Amino acid sequence: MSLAEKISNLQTFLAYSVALEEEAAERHDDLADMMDVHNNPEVAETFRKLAHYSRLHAQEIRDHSKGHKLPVIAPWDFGWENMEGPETADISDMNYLMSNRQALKIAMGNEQRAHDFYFQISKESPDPAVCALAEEFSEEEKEHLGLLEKWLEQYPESEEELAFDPDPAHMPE
Amino acid sequence: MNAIKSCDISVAITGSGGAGAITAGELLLSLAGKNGCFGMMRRSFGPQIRGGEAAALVRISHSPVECMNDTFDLLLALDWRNADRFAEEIALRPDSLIIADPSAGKIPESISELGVDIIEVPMKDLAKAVPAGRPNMIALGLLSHWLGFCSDEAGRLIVEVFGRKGEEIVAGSRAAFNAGFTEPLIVEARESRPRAERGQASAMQSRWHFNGNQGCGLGAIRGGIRFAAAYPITPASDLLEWLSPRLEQLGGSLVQAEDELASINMVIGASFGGVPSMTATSGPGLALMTEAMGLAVASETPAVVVNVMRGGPSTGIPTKSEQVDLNMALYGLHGDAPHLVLGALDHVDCILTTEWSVRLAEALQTVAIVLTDQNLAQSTVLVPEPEYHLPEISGRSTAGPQDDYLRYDVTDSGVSPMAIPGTADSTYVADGLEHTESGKPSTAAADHLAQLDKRERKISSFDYGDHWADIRGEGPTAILTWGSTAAVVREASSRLQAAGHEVKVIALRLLMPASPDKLAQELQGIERVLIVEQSHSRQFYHYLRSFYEITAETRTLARPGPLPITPAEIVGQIENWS
Amino acid sequence: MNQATQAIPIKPRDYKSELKPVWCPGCGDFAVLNAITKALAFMELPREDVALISGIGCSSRISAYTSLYGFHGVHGRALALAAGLKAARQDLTVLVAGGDGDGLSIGGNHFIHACRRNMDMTYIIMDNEVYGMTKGQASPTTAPDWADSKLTPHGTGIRPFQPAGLALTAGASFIARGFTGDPNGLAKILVAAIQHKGFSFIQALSPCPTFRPEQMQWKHHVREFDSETTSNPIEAAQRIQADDGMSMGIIFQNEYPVFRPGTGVDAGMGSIESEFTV
Repeated sequence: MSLAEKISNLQTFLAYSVALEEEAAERHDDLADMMDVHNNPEVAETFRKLAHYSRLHAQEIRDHSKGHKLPVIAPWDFGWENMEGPETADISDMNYLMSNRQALKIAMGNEQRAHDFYFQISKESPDPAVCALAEEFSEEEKEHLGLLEKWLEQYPESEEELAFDPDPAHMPE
Repeated sequence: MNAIKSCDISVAITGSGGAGAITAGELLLSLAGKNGCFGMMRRSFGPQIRGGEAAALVRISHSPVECMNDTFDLLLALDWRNADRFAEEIALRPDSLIIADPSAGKIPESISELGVDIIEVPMKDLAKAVPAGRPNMIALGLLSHWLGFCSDEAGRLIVEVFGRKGEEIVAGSRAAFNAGFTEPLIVEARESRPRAERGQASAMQSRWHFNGNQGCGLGAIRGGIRFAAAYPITPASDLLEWLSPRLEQLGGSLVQAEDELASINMVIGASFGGVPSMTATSGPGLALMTEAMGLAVASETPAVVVNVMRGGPSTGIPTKSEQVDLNMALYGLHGDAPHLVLGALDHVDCILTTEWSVRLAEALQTVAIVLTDQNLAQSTVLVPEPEYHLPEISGRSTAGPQDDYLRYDVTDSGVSPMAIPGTADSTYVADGLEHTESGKPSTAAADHLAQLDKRERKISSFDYGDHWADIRGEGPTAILTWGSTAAVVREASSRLQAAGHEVKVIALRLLMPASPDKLAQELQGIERVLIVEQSHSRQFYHYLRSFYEITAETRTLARPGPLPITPAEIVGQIENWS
Repeated sequence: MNQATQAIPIKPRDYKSELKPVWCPGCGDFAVLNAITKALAFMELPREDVALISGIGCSSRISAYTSLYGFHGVHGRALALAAGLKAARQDLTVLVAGGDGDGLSIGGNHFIHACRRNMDMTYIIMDNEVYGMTKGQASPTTAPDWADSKLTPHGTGIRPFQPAGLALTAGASFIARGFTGDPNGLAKILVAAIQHKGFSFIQALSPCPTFRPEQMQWKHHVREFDSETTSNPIEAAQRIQADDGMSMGIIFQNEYPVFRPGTGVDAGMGSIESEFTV
């Protein structure tokens, strides 16, 4: 069964959407912590902001869900295409030396994937109510993408190259 | 006010998140070497493997130094993140100088309220103006100018360190260094303050640049070690890593073991086969090795274990120094198991003591525990080229082919010739069980006594010569110490001498067996004794009380890690004795 | 299973401590922390009823990042600590965690005996095929030709262990492999492992971005086992041997006798006091 076929009613769709944003928010917070601990405060700040936005989106969707009883789905039963939610940043893409530009590009990739997810649902779900809401969400993700593109403009392309750390690794224990 | 000459400067460089503070410190020390200076560098870190807070602590001087000074003359902060992490270690004075980047934010109050002199240099911006330039290289340039270095060698050093990163990085680093070196802000600042001049040492003698772990490695090789077993542990891993390719080069080998139990047993096996062998570890590993070290003693198989002490107990403080494995080294083997325990007194002494330990272990067919510590092991020095003379010690006494070979023959010296596998007719079975002279297991009282006497006699009756201790100076007051505090005590004693206090420094190198008669002789006429050590429970003091007679008025200066004992503390104790 | 007895649902984050992990960004160990907290939240286990025992190494720092009971022990001996704890407190859910160096080198002997003993606990090895904490030496799961360590500059020249195969031969009753790039999948395996009565072993491939950056490519090579979990050790052995070590899933599960020392029942002093009476 494809993911879109699985999401066959409004309650399930809302459950997926909330999970998508909440997982993204938690991941962004974890990434902000990582960057804090590794003394990259600019990127930590960026991830904090992204976490904040994800939490806002999650709250919007929860507001939208008032009156619906959402199914409880185990984390591994979602069946996401990429093992984790489409908007969740991949930890393995992180580096303590990364720049804001790199962080934002990763975020933009996530927003694009979220958009594609909602777009696919809007086209393939058997429930018309789901299709309608999914289309609305996919448009919103497009807007988020636009906002990130504007944010990206603050950081010049010269930051693209990953900085290097001349000091060797340290043995803490 | 500290009596620091203007040609003895202590500099701290701090930074985080990949800023390269350590690299800058290492290059600064290397450059000091090229400019005829002596010096020492220590490192301090946060808990992250990369990207953490890091401090390079450097002392540069016109005369040899072997310990850090009490305070720092200059702190260059690339940023102020987690600045309090190093506050204890980087003691500043009101007349200290801070070089800070205004873009890094406000200077922490704990520093500014000291009333220090602050020079603001926009290192980050200066670096941006140079393609592939980095703030830490700007900082290096600033400091090199401040210290009065000639910048000629800098380019070569930069190529050495950054060559592998490509031409762009090398060019950028050189340009950034030059930008820092010629930066008007620092030029102007230097004009108005006391400064260091270029050293003269290079005209006089050649110097070495190395750390304690490397020193032990070299000593081991000089002593004849050709096999090592290794299990990684902080802060001993570097010693083993240094040995690995070099042993191979010499026809020997190093094997990475699965744990310390395997390491020590591999060492014993290789030594049984005739090859001088060693391992290196730290407190937790030494604890694991105690059973097998007893086996080496009982079977009379030579073995050397270098133990690089770190903060204890248990996992403790792995990246800091303490002198707290003395008890375990002396008393940790079960049973009555006489063996050798030695402690290196400074960086050059790491070479000497390890070489001596190998020769002794081979000659006396026992285990030698060489104690160093993280302070020596992981700090780098610029010192005069080492020159020392060890007494002549014959190598392992080996037995030729013979019938009725007695492996554990009770000889006068206690040392019995050892047949190396491959020698015809003289086969024997080495054993941890008590045994007869031929090596057969025995529970008989007479055999046990004979073998215990023999194993004890071989160690206690050996003539160790003058190297049991390093003794300098004369006076009514003696300072007794061991290990890396010796260097701190020596510096303190030269200050005391300059102030009119005559002090005799006795630093014990050979700890087991004890040398009570020799110490009694050295303490003749001594009225006051100060015992200095880095241990909360005063392990060294109790060792002295157990084996030596000290009749003079005795006091102790015993502090645990992680902070090093400073010369000023010792001077204070002596000056304020009454 | 999911009997909601709490008014307020426990979230995974409730199982975390306030300490921010010091692992390098990109480290797979974050996902293991993630997966453990998700699994415990799903099972609604009270924090105080769970203990996480670890050894020494980057992976072993995980216990400090949870708000469970924990013990950050000495190098390689976590399984021994855990065995003692479980023997004395069979009521607790005991989890053990560590790296491949800690678990299969110095901990190797404890590992095979833990598998054989089959006490009811779950052991997860975060396998990055390197000693991360001590700056990058080869571990027992490192390929023989990896030559980036100064201790073994030509590579070890020694074939690595296959942890799953080792566990099987030593007698483990639950053997799984997971990947930190799939924390949800790992959480699912953890739930099954914790629910399994007996010694559950999970090998979690966990890339090290600092000392094994090439492992960041693992995500393109891992896959699910295409067969169901088997209870037949011979079949399991063949699957493990035939695999390149990159297949994920619960490979083997069987009900072997679980070691539970003592009866836990106090029958009173009886004749103990009087047995020496003359």
